Amino acid sequence: MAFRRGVRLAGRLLKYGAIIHCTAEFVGHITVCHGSSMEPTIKGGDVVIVEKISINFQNIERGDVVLCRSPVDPRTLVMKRVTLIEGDVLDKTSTSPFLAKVPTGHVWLEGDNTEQSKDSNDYGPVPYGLLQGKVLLKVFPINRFGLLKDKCLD
Amino acid sequence: MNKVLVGGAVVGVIYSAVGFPSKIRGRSMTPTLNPDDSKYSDYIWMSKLGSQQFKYQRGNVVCLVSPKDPKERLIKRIIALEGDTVKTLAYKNRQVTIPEGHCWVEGDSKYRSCDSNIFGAISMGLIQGRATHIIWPPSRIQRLDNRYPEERVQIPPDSKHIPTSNPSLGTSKHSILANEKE
Repeated sequence: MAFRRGVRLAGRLLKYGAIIHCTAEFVGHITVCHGSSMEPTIKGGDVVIVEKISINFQNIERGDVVLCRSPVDPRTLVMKRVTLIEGDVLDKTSTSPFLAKVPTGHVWLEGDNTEQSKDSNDYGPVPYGLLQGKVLLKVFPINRFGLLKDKCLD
Repeated sequence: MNKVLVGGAVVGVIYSAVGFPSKIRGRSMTPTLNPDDSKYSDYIWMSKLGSQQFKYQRGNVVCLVSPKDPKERLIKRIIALEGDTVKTLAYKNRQVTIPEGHCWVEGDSKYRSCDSNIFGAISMGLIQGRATHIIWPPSRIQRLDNRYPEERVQIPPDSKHIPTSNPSLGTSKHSILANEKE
């Protein structure tokens, strides 16, 4: 009797687990952020919703905050803002020694906290294929809830 | 409706965490995949097991998002890993030392391939999975080996990625024929 109940519970857990996994994998998920490279827009401990639909349609624009696999460590995820997209001319005053234009299939990422951020200024343009999602909005802390359209001037 | 949702979720989990079959297009991996004398396209098994750990080895045949076009998937062999120095075939530099978190990929068909010889070393994060077997047509069912041109790759003594003692894991019809020729 208890065994049958156990099997039914296991089945239900597997079912919901599969649905949650697929939602997180293909639709979107909640992420807790670490670090200071996106301050003051996003601080360590902030909770955001990341959606995975835009990147599948290459629907990323300048100004979007994205979740991305680090080009120098595939097991690390970083959160940065897309400041330039493919074809854009790199700022001549930029300190980076890289090429004049953002190459096809790449984006230029920068953390809002320019001094404390390791980003495209360090490792160059990032291939689009490393992007894992777009940050839709911040849900916590509640007093700073909202879309991250522009850099916060706090 | 509920059954469709659950069925879809199960398929989704298998597709993203276990693997899926994939049709090979083009001849950049000839003769390993889609050999010239084959009438039919090969289908391979793309394994996602361990894909989140990115612990790939030299010689692995992998699927990656093209750095030139994110809508395109490429299937190439990993020739060199971070820290290695590779002698290139058609690249602007004769030799390249692979940066941190990157690797060098090439098609087995040296001259018909859009690979690292064109776009340079790629971030490992672009790799989606590993092709382990050819699963169709039935006459070509085999495990894919991990052989790579060792003579072109210099592995530093302090490398984080020590090659396994047996680079040719498992046998395949192809590698037996190649050994016989030599």
